[in-house]
Parts: sequence; structure tokens; C-alpha cells
Amino acid sequence: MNRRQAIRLVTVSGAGLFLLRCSGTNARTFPVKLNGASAERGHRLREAGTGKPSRIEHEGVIIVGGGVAGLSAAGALKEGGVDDLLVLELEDEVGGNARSGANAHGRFPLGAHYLPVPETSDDRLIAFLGSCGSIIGRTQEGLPVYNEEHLCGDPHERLFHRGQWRSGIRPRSGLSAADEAQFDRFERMVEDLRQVKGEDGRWAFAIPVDASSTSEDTEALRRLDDISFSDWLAQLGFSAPALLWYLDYSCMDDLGAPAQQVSAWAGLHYFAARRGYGANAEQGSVLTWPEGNDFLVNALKRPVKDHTRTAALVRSVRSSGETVEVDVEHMDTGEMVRYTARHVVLSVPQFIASRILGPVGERRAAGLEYAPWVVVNLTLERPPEERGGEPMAWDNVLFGSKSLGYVNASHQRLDHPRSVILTHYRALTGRTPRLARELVAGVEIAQWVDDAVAELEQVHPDIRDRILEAEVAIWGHGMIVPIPGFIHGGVRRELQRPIGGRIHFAHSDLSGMSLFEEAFHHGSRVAQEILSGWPA
Amino acid sequence: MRALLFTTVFIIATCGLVYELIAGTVASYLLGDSVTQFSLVIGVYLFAMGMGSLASKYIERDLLTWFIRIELLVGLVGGISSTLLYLLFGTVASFHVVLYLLVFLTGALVGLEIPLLMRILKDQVEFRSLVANIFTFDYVGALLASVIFPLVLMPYLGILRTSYLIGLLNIAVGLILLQRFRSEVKRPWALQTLAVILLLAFVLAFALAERVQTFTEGLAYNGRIIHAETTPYQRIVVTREHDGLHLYLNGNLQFSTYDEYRYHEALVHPAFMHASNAKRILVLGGGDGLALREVLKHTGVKQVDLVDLDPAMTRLFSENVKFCALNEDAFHDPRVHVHNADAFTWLRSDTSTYDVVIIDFPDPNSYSLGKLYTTSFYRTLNSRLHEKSVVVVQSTSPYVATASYWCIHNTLRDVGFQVSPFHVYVPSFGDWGFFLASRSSLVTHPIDAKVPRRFIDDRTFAEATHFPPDIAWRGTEVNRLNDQALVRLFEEEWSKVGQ
Ligand SMILES: Cc1cc2nc3c(=O)[nH]c(=O)nc-3n(C[C@H](O)[C@H](O)[C@H](O)COP(=O)(O)OP(=O)(O)OC[C@H]3O[C@@H](n4cnc5c(N)ncnc54)[C@H](O)[C@@H]3O)c2cc1C
Repeated sequence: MNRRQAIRLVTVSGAGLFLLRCSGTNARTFPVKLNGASAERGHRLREAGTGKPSRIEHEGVIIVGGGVAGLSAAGALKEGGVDDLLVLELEDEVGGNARSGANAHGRFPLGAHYLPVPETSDDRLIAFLGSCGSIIGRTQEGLPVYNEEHLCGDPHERLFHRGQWRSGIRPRSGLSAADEAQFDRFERMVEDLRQVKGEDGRWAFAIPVDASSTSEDTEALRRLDDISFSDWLAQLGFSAPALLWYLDYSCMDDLGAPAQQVSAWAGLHYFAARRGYGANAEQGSVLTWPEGNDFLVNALKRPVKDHTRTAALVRSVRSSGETVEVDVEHMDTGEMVRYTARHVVLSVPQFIASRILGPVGERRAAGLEYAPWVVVNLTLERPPEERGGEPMAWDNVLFGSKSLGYVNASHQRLDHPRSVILTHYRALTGRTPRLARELVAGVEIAQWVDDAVAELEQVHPDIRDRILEAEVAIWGHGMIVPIPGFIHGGVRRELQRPIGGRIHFAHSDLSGMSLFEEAFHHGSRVAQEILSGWPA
Repeated sequence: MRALLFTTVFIIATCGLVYELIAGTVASYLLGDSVTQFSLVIGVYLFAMGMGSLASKYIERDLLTWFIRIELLVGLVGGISSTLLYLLFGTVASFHVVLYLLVFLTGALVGLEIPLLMRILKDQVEFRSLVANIFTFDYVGALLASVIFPLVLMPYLGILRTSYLIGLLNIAVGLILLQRFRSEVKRPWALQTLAVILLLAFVLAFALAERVQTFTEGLAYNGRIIHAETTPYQRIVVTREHDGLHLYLNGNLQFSTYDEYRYHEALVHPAFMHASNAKRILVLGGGDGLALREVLKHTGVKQVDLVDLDPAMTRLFSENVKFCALNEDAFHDPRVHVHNADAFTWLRSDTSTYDVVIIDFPDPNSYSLGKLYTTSFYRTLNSRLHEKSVVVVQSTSPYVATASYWCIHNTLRDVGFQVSPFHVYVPSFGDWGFFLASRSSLVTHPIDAKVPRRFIDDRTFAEATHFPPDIAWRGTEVNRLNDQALVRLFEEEWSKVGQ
């Protein structure tokens, strides 16, 4: 009866899966929405401008791009006394990669969604978090006291590994003694690296990247920027598959690319640069909100609300004597306007800055690599069925999968919503980011949803039937990739230098890492640059 | 004859597969993790079929008689297995063993069917076409089963009726074969009687499936179920045993009418002994209205707000005559205002202050309930208090979950409350603990003699504040939203007593 059994097994498992899929009703369809960087508006920049500006306006400072960097710059300038400033943002909402979406069931991130608690000495960021209500005071010893509703709620993370959800993302089960020893060795190494300071008194691995030590005694560590993380790991004999998976996951999570594509310095930075803690937040704690980093964007945009124009496509920026000319197409009115300003901040990624600047900016984006991201938000009528193990956490990762798993956007909510919104993250990494981007461009939106759902079905068998709606955000140039040589090779410093003392640059890609802290830092930095020469 | 036997193959193949799907469904329903349950059930079932086939070679004579007997047996075992599983779940210690035994038994019987049939038919049909036809009908039957089970049987009949129906089919097959080949069967009368009895039993069960459902559930509880309801938030079950009523939420006992007065008097009256002139009262949780009943005994009370997540709970206890008698119609008192909302969010949108707050949440056995025991929750609560307000918190068993109990204490202290612990004996629960908390120091006043009581008096309360060394205060982590120490402690401590 062997064949009978074999074929029956197929039928039965088919029936089983079928049963799980429809659980008695026919498979549902649900609406899918597209969000993210609007490709159509972005591509208009490549086409020639339509006609002459209809009028000319004058401003003190124009900020091109209302992402975290641009809004930080605007806020710092306003605080420094600059009142005639204007932020021009292409999309209908400011926030860039940190924007959020919303539907009847709640809010959810479209991109950036968390911020690790900053170092206790990072006064600027701590002051900013105070203004957001995320830090509610300081203890006598000077430790920040966090608003516990903004700290990631318990349980934080879980990993689906060997048929079970297990707490934490670092794989722990089924490791051989040798693998375990490699994990230990790696963890000890990064623990040591976290404590290394140069003779200049700066950490070897710091946030922002530009605050890292530049003295001679840390030169050897900076050399790690010349080789790829995976080569470095191989050189040191790190070969345990679970460890390599974990490190790949970590690089993708923060840098958008696997260990093979990023420099060893950048890969180690993920582990060795996070020293922040607070009175009620241990090291490694993160801040997060249902709407992700859009919470922070909201606090950034409030003080400069009256100085912001959205739906404004900046087409060109040109120096002209004592002023800078900015040509803008207002997408809402269709009007072309020429602004003149004493200073202009380009808080857009360099490949866009390059186009806006024309010949002056020709080579700005040469050699810069960006990783595309696809973020799929799934609104479920109720929490999905679980496989065994730990209950749903904020961050939920599947061992060995091609995505980064999902974040439960409803996790931070204190009420009892019946529905949940899960945010599925995937960084596209082909052999090169460019290849990956071409791939992104060629795929139907529904296909991204289907990919995400198919993956999650492994751990939530009934998820497909629970979906009420889906929203996809595609970020073609989501994150700068710190390829070997980029962070400490000198190009970055070049790119940060203002042109003619009037055109300034502030974007997270100038750090080689797309992080909130980096964007915030560049915003503050250019504000100082401008304010130092500002007439009192 | 051939047509009849091939139809038989078709029917038994369909039935065989449905039994397997039923077992898989019941197992995933009761145990969760459907992928694992289905996989294991399928594996065990197929293996058992193999064993059944193997066993068929030991049947040497009277093949047709044996086949009919097996049909009756398959119908019986397969038909009642889901009922048995429901009955035994929660009453036997090793449910997995029972589950796989039943799956094995059904599988083995089903495995006997086809080999026997092939042997019965081998002299009447040419071997080549016999094999081809039998397998064809077998597989087509399997396909039919896998389609109608999720699309027709489950949605329209439900699991119990499906089982009875499929059991009936097997028995009917046995009965029809018996009629048709009467002369070739041994002791046809005995078999026929048995078949008819089984047939009637299943028809009856099919008609009464609804009652069977409630009954099987009843066994998991003590006593008879008089009310059962699944709300979006929980499963509410009320049982009656002798003269007492018991309320279960998600299978956890909330109160028993024998001794609930002890719990609710201890929850409410000590708080009033520490508050002076309490007029505005807030009750969080407590949708059964029993704490409310005690509160309303204090004649000085002007207004009571009760916040309970589940409208079904407050509806049940404000509309059902039996339950209204229990809470003395508390919900119809004009001083009472009910809010069906999540307590955390409700507190934030609220703007008034209260003299006494009574917190009667379920135990912190999940992260979402644990949120209601965190520093953030108590801080939010604090904003609704004045200097003299008194809060009481039901805080699990200090005997079973000593660290959990003191963790709640330490969390209240961390927020800046003055806290005083006390515990009483409630027979249904065991040693049960509470905390009084206030911004200012807690001063005990004599209990208001006008308030009718059976349990709490000044002396009882005084003794309740004493904690012997085995359950005395201990240091623990503080329970925070970002680090729910309490949920982990609670899980650890209660799992030791196997609850
Ligand atoms: C999927 C994803 C997840 C992420 N997750 C995190 C996270 O969890 N934590 C974290 O710290 N970081 C995360 N990041 C990184 C995130 O990009 C940074 O934290 C930060 O938001 C970048 O800000 P920015 O201002 O440097 O750049 P951007 O967000 O790129 O801002 C640039 C702005 O310029 C606008 N613009 C572009 N062209 C024009 C034009 N021609 N005219 C006018 N305006 C224009 C854009 O619309 C945009 O608003 C994530 C990124 C992605 C893609």
C-alpha cells in the first residue's frame, strides 16, 4: 500500500493546507494601497523644466527636502534666530523615510520606526527627546528618565527558529559548543570595541559617525573600513552559520545590505556604538511608537510649520553672486517660482542633489550605493494564529528568511484594539544595489504583498484570511550602503563641504549610514555652519 | 455486485479522509499550532493505516463478515472520536496520548478496509482492473472529502455533526452490505441489531449535537453550565453546582457564590476604612457587579463609575435575573455609571478625581493584562487621585506567587505611593492578597458599623495585615511597560502549581 499512502499524504497535506487557507470560507481579497517615495514626482526631476518662473521670492535660508535632516536644520536655525526660512518638500507630507500611514485601525510606519536611546552625554538629542515628551526628566546623577510608554514594550523581540518562537533575535537553540564559542568570542570583541576611546578622547565607534575618534591610535580600527565585513569575519575565523546569519540580519536591519556589501567598520559599528541608557532604560533599549519615527518628525515639524511648503519640487539650485537661486515647481498649483536666498541647504540624498545642482554637482553621487526597501503594512482583523513558543513581540524575525520579519505596529498601544497592524520589512539586495533597484521597479505591488504574506504564512497559517487591507511603501533609494572605503575614505568629508559658502549639505547619506541620529546631526551641523556666519 | 462494492470503496475512502481531517482540526483547535498538529495527526494516521493493512493478513476466513464488523467499528470509533476528545480535554492528564491513540485506532481500522475489500473482490474481477478501479475510487473519494470538508461540512454542520454524519455513513455501508449478502454473513441478526442501534444512536446524537457541545464543555467545569458566551475579549462561562454559581473567564475561576463575599468584602471595605468621607468611587474591572454591591452599602457614596472592557459582562450581570439577585441589582442603582472601555485609555481621557479606587483586574497572566500593573498605569491612575484618595488593588495569591505579589507592592512604591499589604483566606482561591495605596500615609479607622457584612471587621482586618516569614516582603524588579517583570514572575510561580 505504499503508493496509496504516499499519494494520500499529498492529498491530505494539500487538504490540510487548503483547510488552513480557507478555513471554511472562500479566500478573501483585500485592497492594496501604494505609498512611499512617489516615483512619478521623483522622475519629473529628470524631465526638462516646463517654462519660466512666474514670480520671484526672497528668503534668508531655503531648505530643500523636509526629511529628518532638513527639519532638524530648520528647527536649529529657527532656534538660532533665523526667521526668514522656508522648507521645500516634494511630497504632500514632510518626514521622508520616516513618514507613516494611517487607516481606520490605526497608524503604522512606512519606513523608519525606532530610535535607540541615546548616550547620556548627547545633550542635543536628549533635549529634543525632552521636547517630544519621550524623556520626562533627569535624575540627580544626570541620567535621563524615559517616558516608559515610548520605550519599546515587553516582549521586545522573538525569533522563529527550529519550529518555535524563541525570545531574543540572537539564535540560541541547537548551537554546537563550537558555534556557541564563536558567538561568545564575537560578543566579547564588540563589548571591548564599545569601550575603546582614542587619544583625542572620542569613542572609536560613535554616533554620529563623525564624532568617532580620528587620532592615530585608533587608525588600525578605521582601516577596517577598507575591507568588507564578511571578509573580516572570515579572516578571524567566524564561520558558524547561525552567527553569520545573525550578523547578516543585523547589517540588513541597520545598513540595508548584508555583511558582504558593507565595510567591517560599519558592520561593527552596529554593535559597538550603542552605549545609551537611562534611569529606567537599560543599554540596548529603543524608543518606538505605533507610527514609528513619524512621531519624532511631528515634534520636528511643529516649530517650523509656518515655514514649510509641501508638494514643492525643487528643480535647480544655482549660485548667482551673493545669493543662490532655487527654481521650484509647485505641484499643487502648477506654478513655477524662483526663490533667491542667502543660503540653501540641500537635505536630499546626493543623487538628487547632483541633478538639482547641474554641472556643479555632476560627480556628487559617483560611487554611492543605495539599498532599496519594500515595507508592507498588513492590517489584520484580529491577531493571527500562532505557532508554538513565545507570544507576539514588537520585533518578530524568521530565522533564515530573506526579509527582516515584521514589527507589530500596534504593540505600543495601550488600549485593546481587536485588529493588529503588522509592518513587514524587506531590504532588497541583489548582487549590487543597482541590480536590486531594477528588480524593484519591475515588480507589481500586489506581488510584494503576496511575497510578504507567503512568508508570514509559515508562522501564522491563517494570516491571509485575516487581512483587511495592505499598504506597500517602496523606497527605491531607501538607505545609503556603507560599502568598503566610504565612511573613512575621505569622499564623505568632501561631500559635506559647502559650495561657495552658501550651498550646504545635510542628509543621512553623508554619514554612510541611514540613521535618525545621523540625519539629526547633519541638520544641526549645517545650522551651525550657517549661523556662525549669520549677521547678528 | 461490483458496482455496489466500488461505491463502497468510494464512500469509505471519503469517510477515512474526513476522520483524519476531523482529528487534525480538533487537535489544532484544542492545542493550537495547527501546522504541527496537522502534521503529527497525518503522520500517525497514515502509519496506523499501514499497520491496519499489515494486520489484514491475519484475517483468513469470513472476509465479508469481518468487513461489515469493521465498518461498524470504524463508524463508531471515527464518529465519536471528536466528542471523546472534547470530553477528555481538560479532564485527563495526558491528552496527547489519548489523541494519538484515537487517531491510531481510527487509522488502523481504516487501513484494514481496502485490503479486505480487494481480497473479497479478487475472484470476481480481473486483478489488473481490480487494482486500477479500487485505487481510482479511493483517490477520488479522498479528493471529494478534502473539498467538502472545509467548504461544506465544517461551515454548515460543525465538527460534531460532521463526525456523526460520517460515522453514520460507515454504519450504513455495513448495513447495506449486510442486507445484500445476508446469506454469506455469519450471525447476520446480531450484526444487524448492533448496526441499527448504532445508527439510531448517531441519528440522535446528530439531532442533539448542540446539547452535546454544552455538555462536553460542562465536564471541564465543575457543575452544570447555565450560561456560556464567547465575546471578542473572552469566553464567559457560568456554572451551577448544588446551589452555588461559579463564573469562569477563559477557564479561570472568578468567583464562586459560596465564598465570593469574603473576597469582595476584603476588596472593598478596608479601602473605606482608610478613606474619610468617600463620595466618588471608581471601580476598574469587576463587571460582575459584586464589588459594586459592597461599595453601594456605604451610604455616603454619591457616584460610582465602573470601567469594564467587555460589554457582554456588564450586560449579563445587569440583565440576567439570577445575577442581578447576586449583585443586589447594583447596576440599576442610579449612582452607578458603566463605561465599557479599556481602563488604561479610559483613565487618560478622564478628568475627574476619586476618593476611592477599586482595582479588580484579572491576574497578570499575559503581557496585555500585565500592562495594567505597570508603573505607567499607576502613574496614570495617580493623576486621577487627590492627596487623601485610597486605592485598593487585587494582587493574586501571596502564598502561591509570593514574588509576584511583592512585585506589585514594589511597583506601587516606585511610583511614590504609600502601600499597605493585607491578605485573607478565600476557600475557592486560597490565601489571597491585596494592597491599599495612597499618596499620603494610610490611617486605619474603625469600620462603619452600619455597613452589613459577614466577614470583614476591625479585628479580621488587623490580622490580615500580618505576613508570616514564608510570605514576607521581598525585593523584586519593578513592573514596567518596557520590562514586564511581573508577567514572568507570575508565569513562573503559577506554573509550579500546575494552573
Ligand atoms: C525602510 C526603512 C526603514 C528605516 N528604519 C529606520 C529606523 O528604524 N531607525 C532609523 O534611525 N532609521 C531608519 N531608516 C533610515 C531613515 O532613512 C533615517 O532615519 C532618516 O529618516 C533619513 O532622513 P534624511 O532627512 O536624511 O533623508 P530622507 O528621509 O531621504 O529625506 C529627504 C527628503 O527630501 C525630499 N526630496 C527629495 N527630492 C526632492 C526635491 N527635488 N525637492 C524637494 N524635496 C525633495 C524627500 O521627499 C524627503 O522628504 C530607515 C529607512 C528606510 C528606508
